[in-house]
Amino acid sequence: MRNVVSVSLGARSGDFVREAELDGELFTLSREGTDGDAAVARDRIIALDGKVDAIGLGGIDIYLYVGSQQLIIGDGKRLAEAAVITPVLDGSGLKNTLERSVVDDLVQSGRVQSNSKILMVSALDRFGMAEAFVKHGCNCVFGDLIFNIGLDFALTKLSEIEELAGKYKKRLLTTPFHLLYPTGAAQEKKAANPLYARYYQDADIIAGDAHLILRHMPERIDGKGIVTNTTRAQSMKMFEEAGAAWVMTTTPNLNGVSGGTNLMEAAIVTLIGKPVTEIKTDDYTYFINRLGWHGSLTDFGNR
Amino acid sequence: MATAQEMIDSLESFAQSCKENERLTAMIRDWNRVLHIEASDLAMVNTLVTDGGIVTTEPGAIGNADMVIHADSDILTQVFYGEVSPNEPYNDGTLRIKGAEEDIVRLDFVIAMLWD
Repeated sequence: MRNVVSVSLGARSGDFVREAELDGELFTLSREGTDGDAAVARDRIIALDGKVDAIGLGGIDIYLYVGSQQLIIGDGKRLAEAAVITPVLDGSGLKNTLERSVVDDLVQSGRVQSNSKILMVSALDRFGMAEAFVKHGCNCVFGDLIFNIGLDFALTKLSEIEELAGKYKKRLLTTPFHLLYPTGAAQEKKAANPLYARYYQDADIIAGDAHLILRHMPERIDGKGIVTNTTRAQSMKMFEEAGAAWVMTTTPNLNGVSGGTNLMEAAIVTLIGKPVTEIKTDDYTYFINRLGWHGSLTDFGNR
Repeated sequence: MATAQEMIDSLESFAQSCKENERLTAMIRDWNRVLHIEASDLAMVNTLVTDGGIVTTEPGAIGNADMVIHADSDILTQVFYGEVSPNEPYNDGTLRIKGAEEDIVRLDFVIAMLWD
């Protein structure tokens, strides 16, 4: 039995333990929230180091990949360095592979079309998904300035996201992560600005981080599709009650929850069996295909 | 320690650079704030106003501040000349703010767009 634990800066209310069989191996996959307390997360990573097969780091990234740029989130890197034996994964490898293929699948099924209007609440952390939408000719609004910084200005080009990445490359090393992204209880807090509701209303599909989508979601999103990650029963209920037509989660369903990309990446890394520094995109792609991961679709029937 | 004139020059340079950047003006058109900038070692306060995307500065504490930024003059001039992100001294406690944390993120964004 392989044991993979996601230590998350997110709320404890999202914790779960699941057993799953992946590639013929039995896994215990669990998620432990720390309510935004980085010191608790660090202590937990130290306690798990050397005792589990891989650790996922949730609620914070270590790396962002934007075009040819690798951005390092200082707070995330420092947390990951608390483990010296067990690999710590943040999901960036899966975001760059699985999330692209999920968009391809949505195009094949006709749910995403070349003229679909997409709101990605944030693209800096999911550039692979953003590129996939653009590749298929979708009209994209990237809400990084709107929903992360609080400035009512829509970005529409990948080059603008790349520019933003360049501007923030140095800053992300030192900026306290909680200033950029809700952690702990703040994840559960609604902060929907009525001024920004139009971005949701104008879109056919709303994509990106689930916490960010829910945090800024207006009361009604009738008929919209959602492409996101890490859904729980509660978040699925919120999407359904707001009138969403369907939700595509980019990670597979584990008996009612979709694990974070960090947890699933940590599981895959134990199967790849290479040191993390030697793992390439092709390794992820190989195992994604081998495991038959194609995201998980829930159709609410709302139109 | 910066001089009072250097402090004023850094704010005027910041305001002027904002004005000359059309895209930035559009980005911050809805971020209307009054910021008081307090240089602790100079016993000096200046006001920075963002209104409809236009940034202006005046000596003294004008109007009701949405955010007060308090640091020594060296840090403040470095911040407004874009040599240091305000997040760094904010993080280590050498720059303090009264007001919403979100506004320090917005100010940092403006500085990033201008100087980086």
